[in-house]
Amino acid sequence: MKKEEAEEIAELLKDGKGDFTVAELTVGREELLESGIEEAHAADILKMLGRREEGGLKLAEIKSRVNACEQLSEKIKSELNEKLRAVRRRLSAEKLDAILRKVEAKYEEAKVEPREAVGIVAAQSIGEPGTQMTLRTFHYAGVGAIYITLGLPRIIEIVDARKKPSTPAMKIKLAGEYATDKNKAVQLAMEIEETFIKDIAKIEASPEDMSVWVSLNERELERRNIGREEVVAKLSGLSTGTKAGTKAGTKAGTKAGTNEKEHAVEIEETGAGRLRIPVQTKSYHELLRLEEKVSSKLAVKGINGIKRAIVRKDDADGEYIIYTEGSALKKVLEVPGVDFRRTTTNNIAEIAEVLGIEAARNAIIEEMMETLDEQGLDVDARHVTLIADAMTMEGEVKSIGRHGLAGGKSSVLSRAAFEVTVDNLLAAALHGERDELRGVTENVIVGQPIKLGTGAIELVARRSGGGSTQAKGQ
Amino acid sequence: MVEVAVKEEGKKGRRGKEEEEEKEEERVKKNYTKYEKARIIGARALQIAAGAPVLIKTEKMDSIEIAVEEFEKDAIPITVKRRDSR
Repeated sequence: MKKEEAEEIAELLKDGKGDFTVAELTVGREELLESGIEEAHAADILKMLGRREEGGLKLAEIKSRVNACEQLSEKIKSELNEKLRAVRRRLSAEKLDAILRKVEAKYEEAKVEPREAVGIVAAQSIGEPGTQMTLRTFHYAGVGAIYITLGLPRIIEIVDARKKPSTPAMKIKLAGEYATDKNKAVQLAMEIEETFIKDIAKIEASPEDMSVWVSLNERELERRNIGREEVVAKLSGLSTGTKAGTKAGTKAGTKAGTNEKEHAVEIEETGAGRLRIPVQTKSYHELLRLEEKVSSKLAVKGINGIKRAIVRKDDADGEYIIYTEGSALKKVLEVPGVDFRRTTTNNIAEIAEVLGIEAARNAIIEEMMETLDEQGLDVDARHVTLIADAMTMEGEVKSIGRHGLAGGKSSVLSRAAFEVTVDNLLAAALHGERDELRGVTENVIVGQPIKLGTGAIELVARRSGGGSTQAKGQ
Repeated sequence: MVEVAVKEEGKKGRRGKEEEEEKEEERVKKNYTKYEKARIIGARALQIAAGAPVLIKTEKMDSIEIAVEEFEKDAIPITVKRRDSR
């Protein structure tokens, strides 16, 4: 299908969708028929609406939607027909049929049957390629060189369900003009990148006049689109003072004492973009503390946690994308100009929190497949999918560690079989633990068939003898 | 047979119930998994090896081969019980 066609269809569908609600969708059958919709379609639509016959209407919308659907199916049909015709030119009907049947058979073959040990197979299918992975690799995303943990450490990170990856990073896709205009994209990147005073100014502590000098860098200010007033405003929010006073105050439970020794800073603006911040209490200790505060704590602009933001042009479709070091999904999604539908982070816990558990499941799959791919390892997505499912099925992201899936209460015997056998058995005996002999290990220990594959099948006598003979033992 | 079951719906007699069970058996039989098939053939082969009468006419002498043939001819009076897995 051509791109224009696809866009056209998307437009049509959009017309129909948007602000659809069930109430608006209640339309009578008569109206549908009157508007020139075919009988069969009208029935379908009514069915979709829960067979409500009466109600308000947004006929135009429904009509356009139905039209769009029809057009789409027509297009798919013609597309397929074309392919079929092309194939038939070289193939007889029987041969085509044979091929299709073979494809179907292959598909059926690929399905796993009930009682298959899919978990073990998935574990092995990821474990073996894992042995071929580089132990420590870093990857540069683009010229700006953003480090991203990859390889085995990354896989371990994902499976461990860490709250924060060792190298958080985001891929921010842009909407509308931002995606096509480089300047706008760069501007947005600057808005997002967390900027500290030290990034835009030189900070010096001067013992001679007991003050901290901040020399603003005009070029950086302009590049990052920051006004001098903003900087001054930020700086004046500072306060100096000893922590001792604060602590004593809270400990004593008196609120009054808290600010006793804290002073708001005074800022003197001198020429040439230099700011002077005098220290209130004349002590070198205070001076150094103030310098430290100014240089490390004060963010002038940007989103907390985004250490760096780099704009890169996507090779595939030429749109500009912002890559960041550091991640703050929730805040970034709120920034106007960010396409919140396509923006992602490699922090799975964050995705689970902001977008929900299903999104987290997809993120796990995506991240794992990506790291495996990057190492040139071809692992079937279904193994990864199974792991992601197991990790997320409880509604929160759970880790898989040495003792299996977190929270899964493992049996006494399987624990004893794994580590410190005697200790485990002794502790279990003291606490009067029970073992239901559900798992594989337990059954192996007691010498029973395991509940997997052939071992999980329960045989019974058949009442009716099959085709040729009568059953025995009836 | 099927019609009878449908007609007697509501006041299911013993006959209806039995037929239902048969239908269920029929359904299961058609969809044996590879593990179920292996278990059935294995169990039957063991019986044959222990001297049970063979239920089909065959030239074969190997118990497993006989069991396989019996399975294919649907002559083995064994089926599986499927429970909801825990």
